[in-house]
Amino acid sequence: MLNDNAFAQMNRLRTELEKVFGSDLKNYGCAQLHPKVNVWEDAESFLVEAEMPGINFEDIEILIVEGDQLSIKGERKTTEKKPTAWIRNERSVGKFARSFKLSCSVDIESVKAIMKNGVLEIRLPKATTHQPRKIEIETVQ
Amino acid sequence: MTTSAVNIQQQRHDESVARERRAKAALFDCWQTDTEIVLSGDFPGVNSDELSIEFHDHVLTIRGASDTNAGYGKLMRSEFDPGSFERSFRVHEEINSDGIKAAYDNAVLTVVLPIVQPVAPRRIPVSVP
Repeated sequence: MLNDNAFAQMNRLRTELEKVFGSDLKNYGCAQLHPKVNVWEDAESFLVEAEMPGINFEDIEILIVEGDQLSIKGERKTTEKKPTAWIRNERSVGKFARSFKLSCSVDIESVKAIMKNGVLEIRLPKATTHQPRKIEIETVQ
Repeated sequence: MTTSAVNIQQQRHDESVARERRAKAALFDCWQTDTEIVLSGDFPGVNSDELSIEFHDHVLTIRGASDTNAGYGKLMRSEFDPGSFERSFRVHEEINSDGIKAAYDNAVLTVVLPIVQPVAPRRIPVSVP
């Protein structure tokens, strides 16, 4: 377990690094949040689920790029309370960005996303050209 | 602030830890004021009715179970396993267990443990006959 002395040393190290790298380091430090993602696929669609506890849905941006690239960006904001006596600080805050290339294009107009118990679920139906099509067999008399 | 001074530490040497290794360890922030200890933890995918909180013998134990999308299709990328969460904390402060409160919002559980305040010494005046 990290104690106060360890946190103090890390803060001193960060301060020294900021003196060298300036605001670039602060911007880099914002991207520390890395939501975990599962991706499922069946014949007709993809299902992407991402763990996002404590993140408001209005702070999440979902983009489909070039039909087959999914990008999820957002920010977990700091709680209003600023404790003076931390005992444990394991939950990251700040901005995040995850991008995935899907195995085929999706039907952008039919993509749906819901937030359920802190898990973002995105359903992406495959473009009709990539969906399985049943071929009727003609009988010859 | 040292580990001993904060009066709370993760319980590591009892049976609950063995269960915790099988279950996922939920991430927590903890902080303390003069009057209370606050724990705030992430439980993604867990319904509020699937959470259980126990406080017994100075140990706070929080468990939860999350839904799974198994069976949807083929899992192409797997970074987390739906399943059970568990975390235990040993609290060294005297806690008013009747006053413990918990709130759950957007998969974040916040538990507030009120610290029993020491009774201030009472000065007894000496009456002179």
